[in-house]
Amino acid sequence: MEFRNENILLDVAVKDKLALFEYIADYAVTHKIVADGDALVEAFLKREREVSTGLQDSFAIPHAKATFINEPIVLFLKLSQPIEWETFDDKPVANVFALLVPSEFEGMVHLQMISQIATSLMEESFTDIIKHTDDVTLLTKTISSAMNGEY
Amino acid sequence: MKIVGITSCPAGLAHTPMAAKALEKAGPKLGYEVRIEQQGSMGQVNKLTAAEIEAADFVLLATDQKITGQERFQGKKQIRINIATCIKAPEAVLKKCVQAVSGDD
Repeated sequence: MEFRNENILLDVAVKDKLALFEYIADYAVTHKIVADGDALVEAFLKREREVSTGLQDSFAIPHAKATFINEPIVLFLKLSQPIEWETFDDKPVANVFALLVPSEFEGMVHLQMISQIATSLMEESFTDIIKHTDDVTLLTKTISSAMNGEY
Repeated sequence: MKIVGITSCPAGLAHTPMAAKALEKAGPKLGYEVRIEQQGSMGQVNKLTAAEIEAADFVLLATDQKITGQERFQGKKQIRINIATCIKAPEAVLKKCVQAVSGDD
C-alpha cells in the first residue's frame, strides 16, 4: 500500500460531509476499490454516527471498514472550502484523511501504516506541513514518512 | 501513580491508536506511568503483562465496547472513559481519574 500522488485530491469542492463521502465513493468506484459507491457512503455515515471522526485543527479521519472494500487505501483530500463537522475544537474541516479497509483484513503491515497515519495527526510537526502546502510531491513524501512511523 | 489501560473503538483503525498515544504522552507530563494496550484492527497491540496490571493503581478503559481479557482486571479499580475524550483532553482525563481513585482511599 504505497502512498502515491494519485492518492491526493486537492481543491475538492463539496458542501458537506455527505457530498464529501459521495466524492470519495466516486473515486473508489473509478479506481475499482469498491463496486457499489452508495454502500461505501453508507459505511462512512455509519461510522460517523458511532463516533465523529472529526479531530481538531481542520483535520478529520473518516473511515470505512466493510466486506465490499477490495483493498486497503488511504486518501488525502484538501477541501477548497471548510465544511461543518463535529470536531474537538468546534471548527470546520478542510484536511481529510480517508481510510478504506476490507473487513477482517489482516495485513499487519498495512494496518500498521494506517495506525501511523492516525497517530501522526496528533503531531504538529506533521499537521503543520500538511495544512500549509498544496505541493503534491511534498504531501506525498510527508504522508509516506508518516505511514512509516517517522512522526 | 501507575496506570494501565485499554483503548478500543468500533473500527479499531484510528481512535484506538490515537487515544493510546495521547494517554501515553500525557502521563509523564503529570508524573504518572501510563501503559496502554490497544485492542483494534491489529488485535491486541502492546499487550499488558500480568505484572503491569498487578502494579497498577487502577485500570482506564477508554472504550464503550466489550474488551478482550476483562477478567485480567478482576479486583482492580476500573474507570471507563469515552475514547474521544481521551484524544481531546488526555491530561484532564488522567487527572480526573487519579482524583477519583485517590478520593476512594
